[in-house]
Amino acid sequence: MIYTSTGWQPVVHGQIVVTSQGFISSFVGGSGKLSAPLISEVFMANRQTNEQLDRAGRLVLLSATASEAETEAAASSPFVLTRTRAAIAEEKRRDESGGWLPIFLVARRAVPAMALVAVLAAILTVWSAQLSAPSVPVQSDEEALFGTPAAGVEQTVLASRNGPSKDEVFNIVVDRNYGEGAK
Amino acid sequence: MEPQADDVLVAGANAGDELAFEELFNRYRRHVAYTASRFFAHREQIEEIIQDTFTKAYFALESYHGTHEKSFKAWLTQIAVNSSYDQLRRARRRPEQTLSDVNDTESHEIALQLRSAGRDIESALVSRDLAVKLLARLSAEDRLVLTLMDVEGFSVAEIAEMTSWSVSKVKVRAHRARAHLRRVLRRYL
Repeated sequence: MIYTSTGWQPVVHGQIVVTSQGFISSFVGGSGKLSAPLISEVFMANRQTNEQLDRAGRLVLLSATASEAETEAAASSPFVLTRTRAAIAEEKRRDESGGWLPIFLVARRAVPAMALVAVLAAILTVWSAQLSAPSVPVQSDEEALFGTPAAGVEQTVLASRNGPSKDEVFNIVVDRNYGEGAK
Repeated sequence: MEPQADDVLVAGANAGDELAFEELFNRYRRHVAYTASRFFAHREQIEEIIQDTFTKAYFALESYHGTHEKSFKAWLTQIAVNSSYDQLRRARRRPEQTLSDVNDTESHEIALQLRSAGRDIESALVSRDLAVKLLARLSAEDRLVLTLMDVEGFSVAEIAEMTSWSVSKVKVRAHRARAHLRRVLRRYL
């Protein structure tokens, strides 16, 4: 609702919007239905309720505390110092032996995690190897060079079984004009 | 024989003098017990806070010496309050103390006690067990700040220093805690 010169009007989004002028005028006898004494009565009642609740709250807080006798009994207990000394000794012992214990505790947690990582790495390795592998079976060098072509597929023969002999190679090296001479 | 100053005893305890630490313990255990008694109603709980506070203080003595301008008593109070706060948090995790434990008869009793209290809070009395059950509805933070503020009368700044919270956090927490306690009590008034 929003307060305008014609009174309270609904607002689409449902929130209550009160302008300071409209709010004050509703107290001093504007067109609003609530009169100033009624508003102040509501505020006073609220304040009184809150004060009453706060007093009750303080009473509850005070009631939940220990009595003097009980506090004194706890303070003068002969065992508290002994227990405190024992707690300090225990803490010291834990600190001293605490060098290895945390490592074991961490290791105990780390082992399953590391195992999981290792399994994942192995799976990834196998998977990537399968992806990068050729789809046709691997041929030997001999087949690659001299294998018979599949039907309808051209094949380039890179070399011939009738390669140069050792003597021919020697001649090539020694006689650079071998080619011309051979022609 | 004139009693030794706190700082002398702290220096002795730091150097490994067990008697110096015992003297500090005997000097301040009542004070620590009083601090704990504001939060806990039972003797065993108070003894636990005394033990916890002095154990923590023993290992923190080095950090006190030369670095804290405040007195040993104030320093120890801070540790006691924090130990109590830790204990309240641990207690909150235990489900045995909830408002659902308050039966109809107890609800009626609470209502009577709260209504009859009127304005004279000091002379009024609510059953301690019922009060503890009601306060179990509050969070540890709410309980801490309300007790320090409303029971002990500490200022916002003092609570901020004691709890290492910011001043604004203490203010917000106190406001929310009070509103929460009102909601808890509203059904009985």
